[in-house]
Amino acid sequence: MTKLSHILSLIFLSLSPLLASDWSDYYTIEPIPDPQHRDMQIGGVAALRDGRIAVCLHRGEVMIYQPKNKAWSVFAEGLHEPLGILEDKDGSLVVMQRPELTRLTDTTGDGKADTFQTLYDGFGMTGNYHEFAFGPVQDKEGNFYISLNLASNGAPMRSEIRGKFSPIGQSREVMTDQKNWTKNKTLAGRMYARVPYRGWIIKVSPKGKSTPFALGLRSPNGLGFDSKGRLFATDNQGDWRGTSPLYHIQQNHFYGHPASLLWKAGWTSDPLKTPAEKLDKMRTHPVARFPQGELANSPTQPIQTISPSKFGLPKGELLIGEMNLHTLVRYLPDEVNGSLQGTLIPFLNKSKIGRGNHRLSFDTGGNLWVGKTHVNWPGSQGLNRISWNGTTPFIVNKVTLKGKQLVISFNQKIGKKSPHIEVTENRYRYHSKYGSEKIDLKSVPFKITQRDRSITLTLPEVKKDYVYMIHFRKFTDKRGHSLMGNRFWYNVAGPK
Amino acid sequence: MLSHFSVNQIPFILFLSCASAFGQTGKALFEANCVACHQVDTGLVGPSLIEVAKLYPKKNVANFLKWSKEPQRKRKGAIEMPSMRHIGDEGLTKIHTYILKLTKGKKEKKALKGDPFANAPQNKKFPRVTRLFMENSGPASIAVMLSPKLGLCWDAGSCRLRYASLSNLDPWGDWEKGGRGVGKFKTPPFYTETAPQLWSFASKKTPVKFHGYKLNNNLPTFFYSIDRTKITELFLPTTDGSLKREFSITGLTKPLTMDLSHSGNVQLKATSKKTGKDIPIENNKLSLTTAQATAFTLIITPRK
Repeated sequence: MTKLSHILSLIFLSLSPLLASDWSDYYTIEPIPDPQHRDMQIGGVAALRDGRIAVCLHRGEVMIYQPKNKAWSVFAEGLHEPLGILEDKDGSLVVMQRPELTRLTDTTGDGKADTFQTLYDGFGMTGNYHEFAFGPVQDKEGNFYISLNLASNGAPMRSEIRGKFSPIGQSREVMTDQKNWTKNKTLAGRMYARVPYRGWIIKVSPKGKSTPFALGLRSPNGLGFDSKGRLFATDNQGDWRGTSPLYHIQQNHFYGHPASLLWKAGWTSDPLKTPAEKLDKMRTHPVARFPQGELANSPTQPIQTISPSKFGLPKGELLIGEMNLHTLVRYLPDEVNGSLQGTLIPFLNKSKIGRGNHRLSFDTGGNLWVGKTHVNWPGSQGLNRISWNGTTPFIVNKVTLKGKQLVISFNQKIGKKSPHIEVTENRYRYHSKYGSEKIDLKSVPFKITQRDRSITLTLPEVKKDYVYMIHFRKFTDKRGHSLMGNRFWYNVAGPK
Repeated sequence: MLSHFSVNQIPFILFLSCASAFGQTGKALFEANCVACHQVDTGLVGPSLIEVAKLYPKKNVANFLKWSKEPQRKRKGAIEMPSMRHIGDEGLTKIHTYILKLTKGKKEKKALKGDPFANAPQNKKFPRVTRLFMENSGPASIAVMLSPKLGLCWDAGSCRLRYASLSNLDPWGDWEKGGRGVGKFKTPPFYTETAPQLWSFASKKTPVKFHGYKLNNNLPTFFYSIDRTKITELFLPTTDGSLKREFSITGLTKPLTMDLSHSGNVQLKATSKKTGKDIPIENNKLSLTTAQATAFTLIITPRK
């Protein structure tokens, strides 16, 4: 080796830890060509057991993609804004659309649905544009769970509604008066639930028996079970939502948005006039929070991660979609003293994934299918397939709080050199205003203990209901790969 | 094992007062918070940046900040902008500067109008069924297009035919405004049912349950219950432009009368499917025995 090449190779070796890894080093994102003539805003994705991928679309179709021959076929048409699809045990497809939960069955075997069975429609509709209906997801007993968006005061109720009209609040005349709506809308409440079960999650048995399951939601555009059978829902930043939350949904719990209280048995007062302090005591707090403008602005569907040998991520996490920022999000649960809390970490952030990541589904081969949409909001459209190339990225694989110690574990050996670390804490206000600034934002001092595969940060104190941001910079593993998802947020559970 | 003591110092606290904006350029802040709703030269969810720059030139930055933190909704049919107060004044000012820079010397593009899928092949097939918001019907409505010149609106909430039209459906009103409008037929209905109560054995309080529908060659048969009475209703086109409805009613304990009061200049005819004989309709009232009710046909013919 010449002296020059020796020098050059030394320079290269010293520089290589600074060459940042890219998500494309680990994952391939492949946009699937659209079928012709279809509005490819995707409301639901289900990877079927036979390897085909079912999607439901904004204009009402259920289309099926066959990856083997890259062909699309039409399974059903004419649904009303379907926003979720799953394959049931008997091979039928179950879809949640604006007016109902529907089972689609092909009884003749011609590849198209011929039976559109109404499984559940026992909830109210005012015809308000914001009354979306999400789900279904299914528990181990075969029960379905759906969630219902509140109405928005961006529009009044239509003159004909479905379901009982609650007399609590502005009169029916006011609520349906399009002409004077601009004047009256603040009286209606930013989001409202004047017909049954808007803002609720409903459980529907396989035989169609329904149970109102949980309430206090706003725009719960994402339901999913984790590997332990716990039900989760995302919601969107807005009134009573300082920043977008992730909730662990438990029966009969109230999740903070007052409008849906109208349909709680025994409730007789106007939710709009209930003091925030009273609502605060009633509500169940989020297990995790998505900081607006930084991590995610409109999270969507949570699904379980699969075997790391197939997709490179640990099992036991949730992978969550996001509409606005170019990213997906991982949720790493942490159970502390009986309270569920945990960490949100960006995944594929700023990669080619783009925005509008609405619905997710893993196929049996370990590919992640992502359906995109925008409807009235920021986003995109079309179906993408994301596959792992077998090289393991350097990631945080566990974050757990032990007293005042935040133990951050990695999936790779990290060596002796410490990264540059920044920790901040803040909380958000719970109020009727739309969104919240970061409150009591502070830099947090810490002591660091570094081991082979973990870094422990000892904090001076840990505050309930606070979000702790941890930002690692200039951090590579022993292979020289950069930490992917190097800024993350640990949410401490609220008061019980 | 390495351990050392590290404390973050005061400089962090200074810039953390507007941490969302620190170190981020106007471009980065714009892309994280605004670009998804605002394009440079066309309206998207929100107005174009060219329009924003016109409304808020450099001298009006204070108003830009005010609007961004407390947006109102001025435009008819537009989505209300969510508050951007989480960005802070410094960040919002950077975004404003960036917008002015980005739009300098640029011109607004013309917006597209109409349903981009109006001529898609699937919308030229008949018969077909579409669920959407329909004018003059409940929010759970179903439009059935039997032929290019015959369609009907079915209300799945009340389980009733609401009206029929001698034209094709224009659904765009629903989709165009993201669920704020309605679909409608291109010409007004030739037949609208007006009786508050269609079935003599039911009242306003009788529970009505929609069970869904089956398609046979894309023609729908609706299944529904009115209390314990089970009804199926199949819609068919005819060669002369009439609307044909085939009913099957089971679970009746006594004869019934259908109140077929309507608006529109039509001829009504009912036939027993079993005997092929006409069942008389007097003053828009169709009386049926339980035997007749198990299978009968109703034909609605527009008069010239």
